[in-house]
Amino acid sequence: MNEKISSLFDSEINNKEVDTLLSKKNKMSGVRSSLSEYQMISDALKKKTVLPKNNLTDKIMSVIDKEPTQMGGIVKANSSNTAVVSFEIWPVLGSLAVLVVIASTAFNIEVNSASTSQFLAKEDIPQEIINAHHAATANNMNYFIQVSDPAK
Amino acid sequence: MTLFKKLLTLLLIVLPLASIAMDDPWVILEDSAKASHELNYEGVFHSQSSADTNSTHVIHANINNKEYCLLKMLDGAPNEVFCAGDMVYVTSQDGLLIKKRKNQFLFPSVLPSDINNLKKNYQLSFGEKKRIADRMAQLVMLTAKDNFRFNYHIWIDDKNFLPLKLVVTDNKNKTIEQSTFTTIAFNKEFKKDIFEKNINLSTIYANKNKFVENYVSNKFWNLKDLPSGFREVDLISRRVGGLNLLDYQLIFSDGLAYVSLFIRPISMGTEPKEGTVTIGATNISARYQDGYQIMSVGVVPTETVNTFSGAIEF
Repeated sequence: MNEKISSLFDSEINNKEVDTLLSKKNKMSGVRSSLSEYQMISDALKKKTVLPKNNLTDKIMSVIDKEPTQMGGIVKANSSNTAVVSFEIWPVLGSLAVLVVIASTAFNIEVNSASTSQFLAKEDIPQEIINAHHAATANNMNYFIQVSDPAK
Repeated sequence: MTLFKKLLTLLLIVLPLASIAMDDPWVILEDSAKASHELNYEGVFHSQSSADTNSTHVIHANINNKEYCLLKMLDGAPNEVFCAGDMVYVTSQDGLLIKKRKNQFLFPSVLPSDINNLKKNYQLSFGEKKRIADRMAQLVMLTAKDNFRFNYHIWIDDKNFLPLKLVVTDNKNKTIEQSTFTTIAFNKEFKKDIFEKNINLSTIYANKNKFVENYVSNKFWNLKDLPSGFREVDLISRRVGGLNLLDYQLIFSDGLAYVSLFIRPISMGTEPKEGTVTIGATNISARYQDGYQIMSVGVVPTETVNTFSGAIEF
């Protein structure tokens, strides 16, 4: 089923299968939930803002709130400063780790998209800049003669 | 100790030193730099860079210890370059002065007189001798020691050390640009008046000059972590569109490669540029900082222009 949902977001299934999938979405809560998750991933990959900062923080906090709180889970050993972590905290840490990975993935997509804009087009560079450089430095006199005067 | 023994001792001390001096392979570059400024010659050389090729007629002379040259384009617009002393001028066909610049490193005078900086940044080796413009020439290769510069292959006249051919290659041995003599003749006598045209250089240039040639007293920038061997060799400032603002062109060189670093105040509504682009053999790196558009430009590797544009601090 997950494969079909993934294909839906990749526009790789036909209209009939779309209808079947959407009818199942209305009947099965699991499918609805999967669709929602795939929608988020798809939007993140398409660089849409799907995880507003506040919303993400709220979601993290709400997941943490739902986890059982283990007061005094971390205790100090008598003879040393070594911290002993209670097994009950692992689900909380696990949930946090998953959320951190999801969040960092979303942010990494933004960082990478910014770096691709580091390639300029030829038109972005004023011709006078290139002319001024060659007029002052070229050892090929052709550059020096033919470039227009940068001071004009 | 007899006089004979003293002379023998002296010879034993001096001869090894002399042979060391003769064996220094870098001496050929010093001789070559000197020859390109002192020799009288006339010839035609062919230049190629990116997609452009052209031929140039050159006359060079040293008269009363002052260097003169006259270069005429044989293709395209018939403009001329005229050198006198430390200045280079471009004149149009009707003798009107178009522009001038400092320094002379037009081919074949491409080598600096002080080669010590080259020793630090290039590895010197000798290639095969070959015939260029009907003269035997020794190939000298200057291979970059790092990724901040390209490689230079210079064929030097076997008899008088004038560079007859120059090829610049990148780190993949691809040719970036080259110049080579096709004909050349030496030891001609030239009269001064063939170089000094009937133009008043100072008057004409003053009318057209918009450069601010005053000493820039307020360098409001710092440069950090420049690529090894590059030193500032010139600074040109220009007034921005009639405003009371200047933009600056700092020129750096390691003796063979040149990089311009432009610092330009950015006007309202202009979108700052960030990133790198290659146009022909020229690499450009742009960065925006504190209201200034910084651009470094050069026929050098991308890494070099990126390092220069990132070197400015305000």
